[in-house]
Amino acid sequence: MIFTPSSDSAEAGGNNIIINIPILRIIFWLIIASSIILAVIPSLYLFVWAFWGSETVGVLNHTPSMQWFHDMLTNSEWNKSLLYSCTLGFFVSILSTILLIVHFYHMRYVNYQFDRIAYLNIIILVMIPQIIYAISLRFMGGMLAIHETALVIIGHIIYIIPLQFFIFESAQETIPDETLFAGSTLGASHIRNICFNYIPVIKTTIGVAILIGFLFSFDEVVISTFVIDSSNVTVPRRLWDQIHRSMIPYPAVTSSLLIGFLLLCGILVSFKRLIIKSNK
Amino acid sequence: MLFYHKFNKINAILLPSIVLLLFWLPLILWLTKTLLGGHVEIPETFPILELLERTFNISIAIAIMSVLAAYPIAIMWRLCSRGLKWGFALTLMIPLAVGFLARNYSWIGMLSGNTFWSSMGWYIFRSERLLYSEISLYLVMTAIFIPIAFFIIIQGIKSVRSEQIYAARILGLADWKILFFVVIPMTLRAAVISLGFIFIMSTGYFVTPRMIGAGKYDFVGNAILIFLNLGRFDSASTISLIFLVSLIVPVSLIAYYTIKRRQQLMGR
Repeated sequence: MIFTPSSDSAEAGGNNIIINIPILRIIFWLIIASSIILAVIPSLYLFVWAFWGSETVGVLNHTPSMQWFHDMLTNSEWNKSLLYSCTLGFFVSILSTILLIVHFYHMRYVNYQFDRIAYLNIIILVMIPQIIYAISLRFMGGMLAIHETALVIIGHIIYIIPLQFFIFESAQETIPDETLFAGSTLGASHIRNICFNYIPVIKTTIGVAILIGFLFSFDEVVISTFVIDSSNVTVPRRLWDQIHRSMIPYPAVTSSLLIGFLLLCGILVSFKRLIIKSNK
Repeated sequence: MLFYHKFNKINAILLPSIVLLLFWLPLILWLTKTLLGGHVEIPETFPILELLERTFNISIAIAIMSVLAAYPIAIMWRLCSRGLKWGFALTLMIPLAVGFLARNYSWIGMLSGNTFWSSMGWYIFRSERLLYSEISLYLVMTAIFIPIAFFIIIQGIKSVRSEQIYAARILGLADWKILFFVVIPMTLRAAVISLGFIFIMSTGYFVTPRMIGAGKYDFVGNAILIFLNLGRFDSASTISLIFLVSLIVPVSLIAYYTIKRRQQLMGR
């Protein structure tokens, strides 16, 4: 047996499809294994590179060290970029999350044509390559004399809105219309209904949306490359600028810090759940 | 009550209005200037058609390979236990979390490694010959898009229900037939959408062709960036416009298909 049977897998149709035919099974598992290895192995290498990395490309040291973490975190230029990217990521992510909360809440109260218009807009955002949007944003910045930080914020909001939109959309089933309408009927204003009725039900989705928004904004490179001209650059832009200059493992250090941050978030959430469970 | 109704409508158009202001305004301003601004500035010898052809060919190949690689994982994800489901999802979330640029750097590091350990095993495939080759471009971009394809496909694969599988079994269908005539047709729409999204995303890429292809297999995006860095904004604009025009048909088709699918699923 390849899978351990479970009620969930039984519900999904049992675990016997594919598996009963040996050749198909082997081919499937080969494709799955190679695809996962292909997708994940670069991420694993980044951790190895962060601790064992040397200044020479492709050469690893014999012993692990925290040298590159120390170098990066004590470098004022990198610190500035890290701070800029983190601030930008959180600001943009929270802003677009608030926008989407308001949007999805009000979609319950209006004609579905509004929903169609919004969805069409979101699809077009995804469909137009970012590079074309970036060049138009740069053009508008020059034409209307908009500060580059404002342009970066605008670009990042447009970049992460579709991602967060799909996260929010998949969570709309968790709160029925009746719950919200009951709040309104009992006299709650929209703001109170959002704060005390809507948000508590979808708070996990909000957390995920903020986190995903932050990660994608932190990693955004196209808008930053096209729009930023000053020395105040984001982390991906700094990494992009150093392509031809060095192979110091700063990209690996940045990734390790991000994963560390995610682990910390995971631990905090688990800890909170444990406390709530023990209080019950 | 009337105020309430109007207030709802104002808030309901908040998102489209912001998108209109922040997305459409720059695009319209730029398009107006580029189309009506006068002279088109591309050097006569500039191989724009060759670049477009390469960009589209490689992008479609990468989209197909990513979807083909992610499809079996998504099917297994649907059929396995809850614990394994989390395992698959978390494993494929890691590459998205570590960042796109970092993964490109990582591939350069791995393919440059001259020992088994420093190349993470790629050494046995003669990794030094892979680096900066066309194969590595396909390999790296496919690897980058596998998690994205997976997360799009699993949205569609949720519609495969146990009752349908049991019904097919009771009717005497062999398992491979169930796979090819029940599971795959039911998830084909999600796969097509994922194919379309990845195709569009990869056409706009310039990082991987630059880093992994070492400038030998540049995309349209690389040309735009080069002209921009040279201070020739008009040339960059003109190439972007040609690129945008060449994308109109695929973008319209994918957008139409995606909206249609949503209407069928959600009834609106």
